[in-house]
Amino acid sequence: MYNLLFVIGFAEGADTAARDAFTAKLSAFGGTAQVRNATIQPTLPGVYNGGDLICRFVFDDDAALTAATTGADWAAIEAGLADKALVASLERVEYEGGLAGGSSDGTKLYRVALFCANVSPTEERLAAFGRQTASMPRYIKAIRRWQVSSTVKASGLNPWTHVWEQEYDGIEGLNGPYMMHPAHWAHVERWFDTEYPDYLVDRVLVHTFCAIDAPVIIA
Amino acid sequence: MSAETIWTVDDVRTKPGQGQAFLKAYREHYVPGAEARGMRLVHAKVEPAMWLDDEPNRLLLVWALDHVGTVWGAKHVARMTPDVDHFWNDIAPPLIEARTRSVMAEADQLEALANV
Repeated sequence: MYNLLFVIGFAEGADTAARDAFTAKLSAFGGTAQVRNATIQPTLPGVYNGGDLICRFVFDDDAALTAATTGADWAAIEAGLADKALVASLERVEYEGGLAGGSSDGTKLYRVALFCANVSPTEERLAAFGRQTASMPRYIKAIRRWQVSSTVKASGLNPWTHVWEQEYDGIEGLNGPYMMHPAHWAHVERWFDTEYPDYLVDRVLVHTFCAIDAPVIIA
Repeated sequence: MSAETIWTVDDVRTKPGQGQAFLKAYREHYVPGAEARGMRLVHAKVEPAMWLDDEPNRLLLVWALDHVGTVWGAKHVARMTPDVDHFWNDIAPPLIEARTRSVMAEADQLEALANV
């Protein structure tokens, strides 16, 4: 699978009608033949650099994405994304599915984090980071479905290198077990905490989440 | 210490003859801020038990944090505090050869900590 993710922050001056009209265009694009799965949902309170709208499309491969994004409808979306009166911030990544696991059955919350692993990113350190991140669901059972991917294209606050996605039964799983389990604060945090000599991931990151009523992480 | 106490340990190997200077700098430039972030320095152990003038000393600096919430709180504040970066990036390097940081808990508490 090949994924396209936007994290969109609307401009303060953008009125509700303009935001809704643009969101409707994104939702309509989700019905394009090449789109295997689409998620367009407003973010929930508590995000960090997380914007107002999560927009995620899944394609069979990058050729399908290219085929789907050549028409006038897509051009209108790109124009909207570039319109500073409408969109104040845009995190944009394309990525093939990476390591993944678990089940989306009945999940109600999707969370995505964007990381830029740019501090002495040797192959060995990146592999250890990816391995430890992928180990978290083994310890934290609240993570129902997950995927950790390297980006193919990225832009926004940082040139993002990694996409870390999870689905939960609800916000309690994210704010509770995910944050409070030692697999997080005592183990994987070594790559994020600037006081560790192991520090790998730029301190500017994206942490955002939204309610869902259908599977998001399609492998 | 309570059963919920989390331990953060800085394990530092100094440059030859710099053990005492490093500890002085740590106490002057790092400890006050860390204490303000909720950390308590409970041990500053030195190996061997003397300041060496031509070899490295090893220091174990052991901090107690009351619970997991304190760990996250200290991390978040430190990440936004330029003085912390200044200490580890500018003040410490001329005095040390290597260091690790570890976050630990009592073995008997691991099951409870994982039960979240």
